[in-house]
Amino acid sequence: MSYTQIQQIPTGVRLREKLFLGMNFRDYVRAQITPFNIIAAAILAVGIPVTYLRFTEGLAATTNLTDNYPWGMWIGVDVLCGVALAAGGFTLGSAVYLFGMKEYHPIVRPAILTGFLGYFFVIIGLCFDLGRPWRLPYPMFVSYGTTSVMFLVGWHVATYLSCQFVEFCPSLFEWLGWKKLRKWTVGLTVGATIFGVILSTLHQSALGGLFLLAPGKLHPLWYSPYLPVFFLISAIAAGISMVIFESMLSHRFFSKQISHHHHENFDSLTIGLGKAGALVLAAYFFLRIIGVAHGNHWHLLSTSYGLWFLFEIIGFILIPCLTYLWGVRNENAGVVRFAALHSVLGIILNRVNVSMIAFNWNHTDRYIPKWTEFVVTISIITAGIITFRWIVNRMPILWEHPDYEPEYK
Amino acid sequence: MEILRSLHEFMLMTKGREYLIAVAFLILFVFFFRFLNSKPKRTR
Repeated sequence: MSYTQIQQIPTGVRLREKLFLGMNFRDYVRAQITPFNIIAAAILAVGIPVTYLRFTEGLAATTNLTDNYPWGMWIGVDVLCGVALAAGGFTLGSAVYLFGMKEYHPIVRPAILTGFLGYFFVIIGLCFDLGRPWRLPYPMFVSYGTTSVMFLVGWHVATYLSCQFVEFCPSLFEWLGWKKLRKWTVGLTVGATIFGVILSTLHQSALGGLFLLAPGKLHPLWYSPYLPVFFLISAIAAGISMVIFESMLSHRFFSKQISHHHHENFDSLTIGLGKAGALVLAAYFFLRIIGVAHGNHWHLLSTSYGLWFLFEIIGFILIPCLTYLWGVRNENAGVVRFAALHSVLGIILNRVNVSMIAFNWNHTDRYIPKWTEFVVTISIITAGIITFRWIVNRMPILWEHPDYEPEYK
Repeated sequence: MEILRSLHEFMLMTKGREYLIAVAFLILFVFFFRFLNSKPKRTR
Protein backbone atom coordinates (compact mmCIF):
# COMPACT_ATOMS: atom_id res chain seq x y z
CA MET A 1 0.00 0.00 0.00
CA SER A 2 1.42 3.38 -0.98
CA TYR A 3 1.78 6.21 1.50
CA THR A 4 -0.76 8.41 -0.31
CA GLN A 5 -3.33 5.59 -0.13
CA ILE A 6 -2.67 5.19 3.61
CA GLN A 7 -3.64 8.84 4.14
CA GLN A 8 -7.08 8.22 2.63
CA ILE A 9 -8.04 5.44 5.06
CA PRO A 10 -9.75 6.02 8.49
CA THR A 11 -7.72 7.48 11.36
CA GLY A 12 -7.88 4.34 13.58
CA VAL A 13 -6.52 2.11 10.82
CA ARG A 14 -3.94 4.77 9.92
CA LEU A 15 -2.79 4.94 13.54
CA ARG A 16 -2.42 1.17 13.58
CA GLU A 17 -0.48 1.36 10.32
CA LYS A 18 1.89 3.94 11.79
CA LEU A 19 2.34 2.60 15.33
CA PHE A 20 2.05 -1.17 14.89
CA LEU A 21 3.64 -1.35 11.42
CA GLY A 22 0.40 -2.53 9.81
CA MET A 23 -0.14 -5.41 12.25
CA ASN A 24 -2.92 -5.79 14.78
CA PHE A 25 -1.92 -5.31 18.42
CA ARG A 26 -1.64 -9.05 19.20
CA ASP A 27 0.57 -9.77 16.17
CA TYR A 28 2.67 -6.72 16.94
CA VAL A 29 3.32 -7.88 20.53
CA ARG A 30 4.15 -11.37 19.26
CA ALA A 31 6.60 -9.92 16.73
CA GLN A 32 8.41 -8.14 19.56
CA ILE A 33 9.61 -11.39 21.14
CA THR A 34 13.14 -11.36 19.73
CA PRO A 35 16.53 -12.11 21.37
CA PHE A 36 17.43 -8.38 21.33
CA ASN A 37 14.15 -7.39 23.00
CA ILE A 38 14.49 -10.09 25.65
CA ILE A 39 18.00 -8.86 26.57
CA ALA A 40 16.79 -5.23 26.53
CA ALA A 41 13.83 -6.14 28.77
CA ALA A 42 16.18 -7.93 31.20
CA ILE A 43 18.43 -4.84 31.38
CA LEU A 44 15.48 -2.51 31.94
CA ALA A 45 13.99 -4.91 34.52
CA VAL A 46 17.08 -4.18 36.65
CA GLY A 47 17.46 -0.55 35.54
CA ILE A 48 13.94 0.63 36.42
CA PRO A 49 14.06 -0.43 40.12
CA VAL A 50 17.56 1.12 40.40
CA THR A 51 16.13 4.34 38.92
CA TYR A 52 13.37 4.25 41.53
CA LEU A 53 16.02 3.72 44.24
CA ARG A 54 18.09 6.65 42.90
CA PHE A 55 15.17 9.10 43.01
CA THR A 56 13.75 7.93 46.34
CA GLU A 57 16.91 7.18 48.36
CA GLY A 58 19.30 9.64 46.70
CA LEU A 59 22.84 9.53 45.31
CA ALA A 60 24.41 7.96 48.41
CA ALA A 61 22.30 4.82 48.04
CA THR A 62 23.12 4.29 44.38
CA THR A 63 26.62 5.71 43.81
CA ASN A 64 30.13 5.67 45.28
CA LEU A 65 30.42 9.46 44.83
CA THR A 66 32.09 11.41 47.63
CA ASP A 67 33.13 15.03 48.25
CA ASN A 68 36.47 14.17 46.60
CA TYR A 69 34.73 12.56 43.63
CA PRO A 70 31.52 14.55 43.03
CA TRP A 71 31.50 13.51 39.37
CA GLY A 72 31.56 9.84 38.55
CA MET A 73 30.49 7.47 35.85
CA TRP A 74 27.24 9.26 35.02
CA ILE A 75 29.12 12.45 34.13
CA GLY A 76 32.23 10.74 32.72
CA VAL A 77 30.41 8.28 30.47
CA ASP A 78 26.77 9.34 30.08
CA VAL A 79 27.42 13.07 29.67
CA LEU A 80 31.00 13.54 28.39
CA CYS A 81 31.05 10.49 26.08
CA GLY A 82 27.40 10.97 25.10
CA VAL A 83 27.91 14.58 23.98
CA ALA A 84 31.13 13.73 22.09
CA LEU A 85 29.62 10.74 20.29
CA ALA A 86 26.49 12.72 19.42
CA ALA A 87 28.62 15.25 17.48
CA GLY A 88 27.89 13.38 14.24
CA GLY A 89 24.69 15.39 13.88
CA PHE A 90 26.42 18.74 13.67
CA THR A 91 29.39 17.39 11.68
CA LEU A 92 27.28 15.77 8.96
CA GLY A 93 24.61 18.50 9.16
CA SER A 94 27.17 21.21 8.38
CA ALA A 95 28.78 19.08 5.63
CA VAL A 96 25.46 18.56 3.83
CA TYR A 97 23.41 21.68 4.60
CA LEU A 98 26.19 24.29 4.84
CA PHE A 99 29.00 23.00 2.62
CA GLY A 100 26.67 21.46 0.02
CA MET A 101 28.17 17.94 0.12
CA LYS A 102 24.89 16.47 -1.14
CA GLU A 103 26.38 13.03 -1.74
CA TYR A 104 26.25 12.52 2.03
CA HIS A 105 22.50 13.26 2.19
CA PRO A 106 21.52 9.55 2.57
CA ILE A 107 23.38 9.39 5.90
CA VAL A 108 22.55 12.85 7.25
CA ARG A 109 19.16 11.90 8.70
CA PRO A 110 20.42 8.91 10.71
CA ALA A 111 23.33 11.11 11.88
CA ILE A 112 20.93 13.85 13.02
CA LEU A 113 18.68 11.29 14.74
CA THR A 114 21.72 9.80 16.53
CA GLY A 115 22.75 13.31 17.60
CA PHE A 116 19.25 14.24 18.77
CA LEU A 117 18.75 11.03 20.76
CA GLY A 118 22.34 11.24 22.04
CA TYR A 119 21.71 14.67 23.54
CA PHE A 120 18.27 13.69 24.81
CA PHE A 121 19.73 10.75 26.73
CA VAL A 122 22.64 12.90 27.93
CA ILE A 123 20.05 15.09 29.64
CA ILE A 124 18.37 12.00 31.12
CA GLY A 125 21.81 10.87 32.41
CA LEU A 126 22.46 14.34 33.80
CA CYS A 127 19.16 14.24 35.71
CA PHE A 128 20.38 11.05 37.42
CA ASP A 129 23.58 12.79 38.52
CA LEU A 130 22.07 16.06 39.72
CA GLY A 131 21.29 16.03 43.42
CA ARG A 132 17.94 17.74 42.92
CA PRO A 133 17.11 17.60 39.19
CA TRP A 134 13.65 19.09 39.73
CA ARG A 135 15.39 22.39 40.56
CA LEU A 136 17.07 22.45 37.12
CA PRO A 137 14.89 25.39 35.93
CA TYR A 138 16.30 27.63 38.71
CA PRO A 139 19.88 28.09 37.37
CA MET A 140 18.48 28.20 33.83
CA PHE A 141 15.61 30.65 34.18
CA VAL A 142 15.53 32.17 37.68
CA SER A 143 19.04 32.69 39.00
CA TYR A 144 21.43 33.14 36.09
CA GLY A 145 25.05 32.16 36.70
CA THR A 146 26.44 33.85 33.61
CA THR A 147 30.07 33.52 34.76
CA SER A 148 29.80 29.73 35.16
CA VAL A 149 30.98 27.28 32.50
CA MET A 150 28.25 24.93 33.72
CA PHE A 151 25.62 27.58 32.99
CA LEU A 152 26.94 27.80 29.42
CA VAL A 153 26.96 24.02 29.01
CA GLY A 154 23.43 23.70 30.47
CA TRP A 155 21.91 26.37 28.22
CA HIS A 156 23.80 25.19 25.16
CA VAL A 157 22.78 21.56 25.54
CA ALA A 158 19.14 22.63 25.98
CA THR A 159 19.16 24.98 22.97
CA TYR A 160 21.17 22.57 20.83
CA LEU A 161 18.65 19.81 21.57
CA SER A 162 15.97 22.19 20.20
CA CYS A 163 18.09 22.78 17.05
CA GLN A 164 18.48 19.05 16.54
CA PHE A 165 14.75 18.60 17.01
CA VAL A 166 14.09 21.19 14.26
CA GLU A 167 16.52 19.30 11.98
CA PHE A 168 14.76 16.03 12.85
CA CYS A 169 11.24 17.48 12.33
CA PRO A 170 11.04 16.98 8.52
CA SER A 171 11.26 13.17 9.04
CA LEU A 172 8.65 13.33 11.83
CA PHE A 173 6.21 15.43 9.78
CA GLU A 174 6.71 13.28 6.67
CA TRP A 175 5.72 10.28 8.80
CA LEU A 176 2.69 12.10 10.19
CA GLY A 177 1.77 13.44 6.75
CA TRP A 178 1.78 17.08 7.93
CA LYS A 179 2.97 18.68 4.70
CA LYS A 180 2.70 22.37 5.69
CA LEU A 181 4.59 21.95 8.95
CA ARG A 182 7.15 19.81 7.14
CA LYS A 183 7.70 22.53 4.53
CA TRP A 184 8.07 25.13 7.29
CA THR A 185 10.68 23.09 9.22
CA VAL A 186 12.63 22.28 6.02
CA GLY A 187 12.94 26.07 5.57
CA LEU A 188 14.34 26.34 9.08
CA THR A 189 16.94 23.58 8.60
CA VAL A 190 19.83 25.75 7.38
CA GLY A 191 19.26 28.28 10.18
CA ALA A 192 19.05 25.50 12.77
CA THR A 193 22.27 23.96 11.40
CA ILE A 194 24.17 27.27 11.60
CA PHE A 195 22.88 27.86 15.11
CA GLY A 196 23.74 24.23 15.98
CA VAL A 197 27.33 24.57 14.73
CA ILE A 198 27.85 27.69 16.88
CA LEU A 199 26.36 26.00 19.95
CA SER A 200 28.26 22.75 19.40
CA THR A 201 31.60 24.50 18.99
CA LEU A 202 31.05 26.31 22.26
CA HIS A 203 29.62 23.57 24.46
CA GLN A 204 31.88 20.76 23.20
CA SER A 205 34.87 22.93 24.14
CA ALA A 206 33.18 24.14 27.33
CA LEU A 207 32.96 20.55 28.57
CA GLY A 208 36.76 20.50 28.39
CA GLY A 209 36.76 23.96 29.93
CA LEU A 210 35.02 22.56 33.02
CA PHE A 211 38.25 20.73 33.89
CA LEU A 212 40.29 23.94 33.63
CA LEU A 213 38.84 24.68 37.06
CA ALA A 214 40.75 21.73 38.55
CA PRO A 215 44.42 22.17 37.61
CA GLY A 216 45.63 20.55 40.82
CA LYS A 217 43.29 17.59 40.55
CA LEU A 218 43.77 16.49 36.95
CA HIS A 219 47.05 14.78 36.08
CA PRO A 220 49.41 17.22 34.26
CA LEU A 221 49.55 15.01 31.16
CA TRP A 222 45.79 15.37 30.70
CA TYR A 223 45.45 18.88 32.11
CA SER A 224 46.28 21.57 29.60
CA PRO A 225 45.08 25.11 28.89
CA TYR A 226 44.19 23.62 25.48
CA LEU A 227 41.64 21.22 27.03
CA PRO A 228 38.68 23.01 25.36
CA VAL A 229 40.41 22.63 21.95
CA PHE A 230 41.16 18.95 22.67
CA PHE A 231 37.52 18.31 23.53
CA LEU A 232 36.24 20.08 20.41
CA ILE A 233 38.63 18.40 17.95
CA SER A 234 38.14 14.97 19.53
CA ALA A 235 34.34 15.46 19.40
CA ILE A 236 34.55 16.09 15.64
CA ALA A 237 36.59 12.87 15.25
CA ALA A 238 34.09 11.05 17.50
CA GLY A 239 31.16 12.40 15.48
CA ILE A 240 32.62 11.28 12.14
CA SER A 241 33.58 7.86 13.55
CA MET A 242 30.19 7.42 15.17
CA VAL A 243 28.41 8.20 11.86
CA ILE A 244 30.51 5.50 10.12
CA PHE A 245 29.85 3.02 12.93
CA GLU A 246 26.13 3.81 13.20
CA SER A 247 25.60 3.64 9.40
CA MET A 248 27.39 0.26 9.37
CA LEU A 249 24.94 -1.06 11.99
CA SER A 250 21.96 0.52 10.19
CA HIS A 251 22.97 -1.09 6.89
CA ARG A 252 23.27 -4.43 8.66
CA PHE A 253 20.06 -4.37 10.72
CA PHE A 254 17.77 -2.17 8.59
CA SER A 255 19.05 -3.17 5.15
CA LYS A 256 15.51 -3.69 3.79
CA GLN A 257 14.76 0.00 4.26
CA ILE A 258 17.75 1.20 2.25
CA SER A 259 17.46 1.61 -1.51
CA HIS A 260 19.72 -0.33 -3.89
CA HIS A 261 21.37 2.94 -5.02
CA HIS A 262 22.37 3.82 -1.45
CA HIS A 263 23.69 0.32 -0.85
CA GLU A 264 25.95 0.76 -3.88
CA ASN A 265 27.24 4.16 -2.73
CA PHE A 266 27.64 3.15 0.88
CA ASP A 267 31.31 2.10 0.64
CA SER A 268 32.38 5.29 -1.16
CA LEU A 269 30.58 7.42 1.48
CA THR A 270 32.32 5.45 4.22
CA ILE A 271 35.73 6.02 2.58
CA GLY A 272 34.97 9.74 2.19
CA LEU A 273 34.16 9.98 5.89
CA GLY A 274 37.29 7.95 6.64
CA LYS A 275 39.39 10.64 4.93
CA ALA A 276 37.89 13.28 7.21
CA GLY A 277 38.44 11.02 10.22
CA ALA A 278 42.13 10.53 9.37
CA LEU A 279 42.72 14.28 8.98
CA VAL A 280 40.97 15.20 12.23
CA LEU A 281 42.72 12.45 14.22
CA ALA A 282 46.11 13.56 12.84
CA ALA A 283 45.43 17.12 13.99
CA TYR A 284 44.20 15.85 17.37
CA PHE A 285 47.33 13.70 17.86
CA PHE A 286 49.67 16.64 17.25
CA LEU A 287 47.61 18.88 19.51
CA ARG A 288 47.96 16.36 22.34
CA ILE A 289 51.76 16.37 21.81
CA ILE A 290 51.70 20.18 21.87
CA GLY A 291 49.78 19.92 25.15
CA VAL A 292 52.68 17.96 26.69
CA ALA A 293 55.21 20.43 25.29
CA HIS A 294 53.25 23.41 26.62
CA GLY A 295 53.60 22.23 30.20
CA ASN A 296 57.07 20.74 29.63
CA HIS A 297 55.79 17.43 31.00
CA TRP A 298 58.06 15.17 28.97
CA HIS A 299 59.63 13.69 32.12
CA LEU A 300 56.19 12.40 33.23
CA LEU A 301 55.93 10.15 30.18
CA SER A 302 58.16 7.53 31.83
CA THR A 303 55.88 7.25 34.89
CA SER A 304 52.96 4.79 35.12
CA TYR A 305 50.49 7.56 34.26
CA GLY A 306 52.78 8.52 31.38
CA LEU A 307 52.62 5.01 29.96
CA TRP A 308 48.83 5.10 30.26
CA PHE A 309 48.88 8.47 28.45
CA LEU A 310 51.03 7.02 25.67
CA PHE A 311 48.70 4.02 25.48
CA GLU A 312 45.82 6.44 24.92
CA ILE A 313 47.43 8.73 22.35
CA ILE A 314 49.30 6.06 20.39
CA GLY A 315 46.88 3.16 20.78
CA PHE A 316 43.66 5.12 20.38
CA ILE A 317 44.55 8.24 18.34
CA LEU A 318 47.61 7.51 16.19
CA ILE A 319 46.76 3.89 15.32
CA PRO A 320 43.10 4.61 14.33
CA CYS A 321 44.42 7.55 12.28
CA LEU A 322 46.87 5.27 10.43
CA THR A 323 44.17 2.60 10.07
CA TYR A 324 41.88 5.19 8.48
CA LEU A 325 44.76 6.17 6.18
CA TRP A 326 45.37 2.55 5.17
CA GLY A 327 41.66 1.94 4.59
CA VAL A 328 41.24 5.07 2.47
CA ARG A 329 44.40 4.48 0.42
CA ASN A 330 43.39 0.90 -0.32
CA GLU A 331 39.70 1.81 -0.75
CA ASN A 332 38.82 -0.77 1.86
CA ALA A 333 35.59 0.32 3.59
CA GLY A 334 35.81 -2.57 6.08
CA VAL A 335 39.12 -1.26 7.42
CA VAL A 336 37.65 2.26 7.64
CA ARG A 337 34.74 0.89 9.70
CA PHE A 338 37.17 -0.92 12.00
CA ALA A 339 39.13 2.35 12.41
CA ALA A 340 35.86 4.13 13.25
CA LEU A 341 35.07 1.67 16.05
CA HIS A 342 38.67 1.97 17.32
CA SER A 343 38.39 5.75 17.27
CA VAL A 344 35.05 5.72 19.13
CA LEU A 345 36.64 3.56 21.84
CA GLY A 346 39.56 6.02 21.97
CA ILE A 347 37.29 8.99 22.62
CA ILE A 348 35.46 7.05 25.35
CA LEU A 349 38.84 6.19 26.91
CA ASN A 350 39.89 9.85 26.78
CA ARG A 351 36.73 11.08 28.54
CA VAL A 352 37.01 8.34 31.17
CA ASN A 353 40.68 9.26 31.71
CA VAL A 354 39.94 12.97 32.12
CA SER A 355 36.91 12.56 34.36
CA MET A 356 37.86 9.52 36.43
CA ILE A 357 41.26 7.82 36.00
CA ALA A 358 43.54 10.89 35.80
CA PHE A 359 41.24 12.93 38.05
CA ASN A 360 42.41 13.13 41.68
CA TRP A 361 45.47 11.15 40.56
CA ASN A 362 47.37 12.18 43.70
CA HIS A 363 44.63 10.97 46.10
CA THR A 364 45.01 7.69 47.93
CA ASP A 365 41.30 6.85 47.81
CA ARG A 366 40.08 5.90 44.35
CA TYR A 367 36.60 6.13 42.90
CA ILE A 368 35.23 2.85 41.60
CA PRO A 369 31.65 3.06 40.33
CA LYS A 370 28.99 1.10 42.21
CA TRP A 371 27.17 -1.66 40.30
CA THR A 372 24.04 0.51 40.26
CA GLU A 373 25.95 3.19 38.33
CA PHE A 374 26.82 0.63 35.65
CA VAL A 375 23.19 -0.52 35.57
CA VAL A 376 21.87 3.02 35.04
CA THR A 377 24.43 3.74 32.27
CA ILE A 378 23.66 0.46 30.46
CA SER A 379 19.90 1.08 30.86
CA ILE A 380 20.19 4.57 29.36
CA ILE A 381 22.17 3.22 26.38
CA THR A 382 19.60 0.43 25.93
CA ALA A 383 16.72 2.94 26.05
CA GLY A 384 18.57 5.02 23.42
CA ILE A 385 18.95 2.03 21.08
CA ILE A 386 15.29 1.02 21.53
CA THR A 387 14.12 4.58 20.76
CA PHE A 388 16.42 4.77 17.69
CA ARG A 389 15.06 1.47 16.38
CA TRP A 390 11.42 2.49 17.06
CA ILE A 391 11.88 5.71 15.06
CA VAL A 392 13.89 4.13 12.21
CA ASN A 393 11.27 1.40 11.78
CA ARG A 394 8.55 4.00 11.27
CA MET A 395 9.88 7.30 9.99
CA PRO A 396 11.72 8.07 6.72
CA ILE A 397 15.22 8.10 8.23
CA LEU A 398 17.03 5.54 6.07
CA TRP A 399 14.65 5.70 3.11
CA GLU A 400 13.26 8.57 1.09
CA HIS A 401 9.57 9.30 1.44
CA PRO A 402 8.00 8.82 -2.01
CA ASP A 403 5.97 12.07 -1.72
CA TYR A 404 9.13 14.17 -1.27
CA GLU A 405 11.71 12.12 -3.17
CA PRO A 406 12.33 14.75 -5.93
CA GLU A 407 13.44 17.24 -3.23
CA TYR A 408 16.33 15.01 -2.18
CA LYS A 409 17.89 14.99 -5.65
CA MET B 1 64.25 16.44 34.04
CA GLU B 2 66.21 19.52 32.98
CA ILE B 3 66.79 22.33 35.52
CA LEU B 4 65.26 25.63 34.45
CA ARG B 5 66.54 28.55 36.47
CA SER B 6 63.96 31.22 35.65
CA LEU B 7 60.44 31.66 34.37
CA HIS B 8 61.93 33.28 31.26
CA GLU B 9 64.05 30.19 30.61
CA PHE B 10 61.03 27.94 31.18
CA MET B 11 58.86 29.96 28.79
CA LEU B 12 61.62 30.06 26.18
CA MET B 13 62.13 26.32 26.39
CA THR B 14 58.47 25.24 26.46
CA LYS B 15 57.21 27.77 23.92
CA GLY B 16 60.17 27.09 21.64
CA ARG B 17 59.45 23.37 21.58
CA GLU B 18 55.71 24.01 21.23
CA TYR B 19 56.19 26.26 18.20
CA LEU B 20 58.63 23.80 16.60
CA ILE B 21 56.10 20.98 16.97
CA ALA B 22 53.34 23.23 15.58
CA VAL B 23 55.43 24.19 12.52
CA ALA B 24 56.44 20.55 11.98
CA PHE B 25 52.77 19.55 12.18
CA LEU B 26 51.70 22.19 9.64
CA ILE B 27 54.36 20.99 7.19
CA LEU B 28 53.64 17.28 7.77
CA PHE B 29 49.90 17.86 7.52
CA VAL B 30 50.28 19.05 3.90
CA PHE B 31 52.14 15.84 2.99
CA PHE B 32 49.67 13.74 4.97
CA PHE B 33 46.74 15.38 3.13
CA ARG B 34 48.36 14.82 -0.28
CA PHE B 35 49.22 11.22 0.58
CA LEU B 36 45.66 10.56 1.83
CA ASN B 37 44.10 11.95 -1.35
CA SER B 38 46.45 10.36 -3.87
CA LYS B 39 45.64 7.08 -5.60
CA PRO B 40 47.86 4.15 -4.55
CA LYS B 41 50.13 2.72 -7.23
CA ARG B 42 48.68 -0.57 -8.46
CA THR B 43 51.19 -3.41 -8.92
CA ARG B 44 50.52 -5.89 -11.72
